[in-house]
Amino acid sequence: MAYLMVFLPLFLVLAFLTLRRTYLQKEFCYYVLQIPIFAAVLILNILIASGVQIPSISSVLMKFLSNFVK
Amino acid sequence: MQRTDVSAKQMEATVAMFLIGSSLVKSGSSPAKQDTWICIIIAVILSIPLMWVHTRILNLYPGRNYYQNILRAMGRPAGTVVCLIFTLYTFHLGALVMRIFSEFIHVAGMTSTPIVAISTVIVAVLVYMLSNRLYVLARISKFMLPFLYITVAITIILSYQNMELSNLMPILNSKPSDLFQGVLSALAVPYGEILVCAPMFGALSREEKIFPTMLKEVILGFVILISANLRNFLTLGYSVSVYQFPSFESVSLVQLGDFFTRIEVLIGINLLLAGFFKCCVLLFSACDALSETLGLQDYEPLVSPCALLFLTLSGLLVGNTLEMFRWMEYMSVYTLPFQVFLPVLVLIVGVVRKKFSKPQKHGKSPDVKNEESPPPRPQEN
Repeated sequence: MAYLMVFLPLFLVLAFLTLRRTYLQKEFCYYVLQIPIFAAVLILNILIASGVQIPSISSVLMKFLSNFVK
Repeated sequence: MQRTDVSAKQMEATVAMFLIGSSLVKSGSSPAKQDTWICIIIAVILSIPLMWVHTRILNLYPGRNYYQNILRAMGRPAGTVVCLIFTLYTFHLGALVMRIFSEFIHVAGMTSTPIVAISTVIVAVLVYMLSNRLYVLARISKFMLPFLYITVAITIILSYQNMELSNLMPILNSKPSDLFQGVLSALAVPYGEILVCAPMFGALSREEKIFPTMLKEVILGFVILISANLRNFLTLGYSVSVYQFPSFESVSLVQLGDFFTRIEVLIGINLLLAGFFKCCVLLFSACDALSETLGLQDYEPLVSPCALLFLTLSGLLVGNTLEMFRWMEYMSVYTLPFQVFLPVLVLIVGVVRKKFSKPQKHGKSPDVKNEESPPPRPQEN
């Protein structure tokens, strides 16, 4: 909960300002990237805040690279 | 020169701050132990050909836009794949750097503050800085770099009484394999990362040459890094490898009487400044790569989403501090394809294609598919 209380204000402010600016400037091509990234970021952070065990990216890479590094 | 162009001195300062960034944290030992300073010197010499490669890529076609040149050199399909690979690398590196600095602030100063809160504040300032364009970052870099030099010099002078020359002995006693790993490690972080600085040269004013600017940048960064590394080793000796943040620990030993102590706050300020600039450059590079790959006109609308992605990835990248420092041992192997193989491949393919491409009747390169040449990108306002 504390995680979301810290993250959500920043996310909401940045998302609102960015999407609004894109809408006002009528550059709708940027929505193709902005909206999916914002959605993915929100979902991932909700998962992190809810305590779901997500394996870290480094641990996955280290398992793969351990074949090349002693 | 336009008001929003970046001068050579500003670019030198920006890239020097970038190179100093995470290495002020990492300036500890490598497998080569007391010969780490020799590995750093060799790594700098080895980075000169890398700089030459990036310069050639930037000069392949007019405009000095790194990712556009990759797309034109490799062709649209292969170039898109290469740009996406570079984008992923930049995102990974940016998230890692953000995590390192948030961890440092959490461990060294604000132990009760959640790491996400520290990262959130960093992201907010990053977005504001980069939304005002790259030339703002460059001007601040030029202003702040002397401060870094002065603080490192002060810490070296004040650490003099704690230094022992015997900590560097015996010289070149390390095994060749350890020296080699040390050189790879020093090349991977930070000199090989000059790759992510190459896109910034699109903002460099047209009168300035790229390679001399890059060389001066690396030398400026090298001076501080070798000084910090030698200071750490002379002060702490072999115990450098024990500490997570050796620069912080070596300066914490400085004490003049009973009143002049705890000057490691200077290192903390240095770290925050240099690390912040490094995050900013990485964010710019990631946004630029994405916008070029997808054929978008400007990178600025992507700053906020990419910054939030940095924040999220920094939380997903590593589980804890120990895992973060364990990952640094794999960095030299992981980054080699991105820093060395791919740029060399792009250059070779680009030079060959340019040499054998026939100019069209109206003087256009066959790589340009549009009937009209693409409008100049608004790099700056």
